Amino acid sequence: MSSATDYVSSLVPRRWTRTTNSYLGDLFENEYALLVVCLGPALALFFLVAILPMAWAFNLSLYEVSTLNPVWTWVGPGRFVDILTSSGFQNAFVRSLVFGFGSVAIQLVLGVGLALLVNKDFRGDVLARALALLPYMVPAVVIGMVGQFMLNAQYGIVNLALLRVGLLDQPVAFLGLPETAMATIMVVASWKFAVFVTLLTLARLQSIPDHFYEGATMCGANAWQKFRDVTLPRIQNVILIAALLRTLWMFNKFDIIYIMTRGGPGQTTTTIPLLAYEIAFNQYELGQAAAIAALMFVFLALWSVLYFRVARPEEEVRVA
Amino acid sequence: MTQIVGTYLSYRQAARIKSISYQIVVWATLLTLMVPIIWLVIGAFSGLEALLSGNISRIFSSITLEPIRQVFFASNFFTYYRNSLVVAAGVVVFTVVASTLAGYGLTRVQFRGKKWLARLILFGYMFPPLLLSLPMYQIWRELGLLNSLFGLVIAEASVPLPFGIWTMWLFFQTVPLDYEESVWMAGGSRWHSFKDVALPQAAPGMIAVGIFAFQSAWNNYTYPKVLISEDALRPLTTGITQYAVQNYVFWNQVMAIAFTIVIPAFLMVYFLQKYLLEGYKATA
Repeated sequence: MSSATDYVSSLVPRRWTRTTNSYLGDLFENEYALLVVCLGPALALFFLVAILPMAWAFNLSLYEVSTLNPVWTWVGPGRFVDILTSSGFQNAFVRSLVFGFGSVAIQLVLGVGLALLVNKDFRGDVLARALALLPYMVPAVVIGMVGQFMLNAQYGIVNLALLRVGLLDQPVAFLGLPETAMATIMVVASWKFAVFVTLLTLARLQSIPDHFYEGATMCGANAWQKFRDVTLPRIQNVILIAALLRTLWMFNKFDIIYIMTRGGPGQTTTTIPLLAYEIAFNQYELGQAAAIAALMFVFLALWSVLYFRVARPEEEVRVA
Repeated sequence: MTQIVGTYLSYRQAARIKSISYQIVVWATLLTLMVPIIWLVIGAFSGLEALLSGNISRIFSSITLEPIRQVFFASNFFTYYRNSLVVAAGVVVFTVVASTLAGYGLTRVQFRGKKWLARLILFGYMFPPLLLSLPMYQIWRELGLLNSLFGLVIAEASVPLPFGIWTMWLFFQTVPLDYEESVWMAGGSRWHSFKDVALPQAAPGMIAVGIFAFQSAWNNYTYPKVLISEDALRPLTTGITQYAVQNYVFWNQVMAIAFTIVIPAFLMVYFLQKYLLEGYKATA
């Protein structure tokens, strides 16, 4: 301890005295000024890109606003009733739920499995982990386009391979058929986003000390028992957090669906964000789009309450 | 298993067989998962006709640098690339600075309402970019930030910021206050203790936040899609779709652009995965 203190003291040259502080140094001296300097940039951004748009959306949602017409016409809260009872919104909401929960289920299985697989130390483990983490780093645009390319009915590798193996007797346009489009996007998106689960799980797995496993081995535990009694209790919380966050994010996924199908064929892959985009930029109804956004904020707030109740993330940083 | 095998093989040999079979399972799994990336790379170096024929041997015999060359000499490629790099750099700098400062402030200063502020920041995780971008489109238009890279940086910095603050908050908690206090006792100011003691200790966290911010900005599609309509200001993510819409049959060129987008991402995870895992370890 004292050596650390000595080391730190040695860092301080003579000229650093309280009388020769810089302007910035003065700001750090005062508790309130320090708070403003530290939290100012983050809170300013937070206000500009989150609080203000949300307030704006809630206000706008009560008006009829078209991008083509600058006049705002009052509509009132009845708009929310109209939207909630419209079949377009209800169907999109159900599709969002299907996409959200369905793809998260795939991601959890794939993500945790992959994390367990690359967690061990072996030759080439750095490369293996980099490859396992790569899909998350590849932009959704790229994945969407590669997906389109691979799933094409005429020259897509997936069709060619399935025909060759004999699982199909004629090519299928996976993204072009109402029956297969949603499931196909779910699989492609899960491929990318499972890696988020892998990242969280892998980080937690790496923090489990080896002697836990050594102890279990000495007590005669087999691989399954070690997983159940040593690994699982330590990763179940992180899996829960990942599941809650991922459901929230998948529910709001826009880019990958938009690139692969634009919400089609028909409306079969039009989830809530695609519906909002369509209404804002193709029908020019900004007020209605804002109302959908506002409804989603309410829904997300409810989901977040669940997240805070169940996962208690702020207890992780012992808030004093 | 090892016991039965052990009667025939030495323990060392059994362990070796086990390790090799484990590695085979790992690499076979990863190879299967990498099929889309492998196909992307093949596509980026193939002739278009061969690629569309779907004949594997024809594709392999058509391997060429032509798609890469065509993409490089396409008028907008370097513009898109430059825009992406400028935006990513802006997002990384802002996110790292803002979250480091915020993390330090939240750890070292006691004030009322801290718990609610923590929740507010975590709430930032929850904002769906598309739904925020719709009202943002209006606000940005009022502020004159539509079709500006600066406006795009501000919007995109909001995505990694909550994670960044969270990570730095956790990192500064691992730096004992004693270290900083000893600087003060030696006559140093708070600024010095922050700059020379706390900051170096939190450096791995800052790197993790930086990587996360980079990949978030590098991947972002939604904000440029909504906030940028001028072609010269598009980053790669929306630029590439522009390219594909114009020449949607040139799959080899599209894959070539995709290849140039994936390369930085791969290098980043390969060399910096340690820090990335560290950052997630802190937040997990």
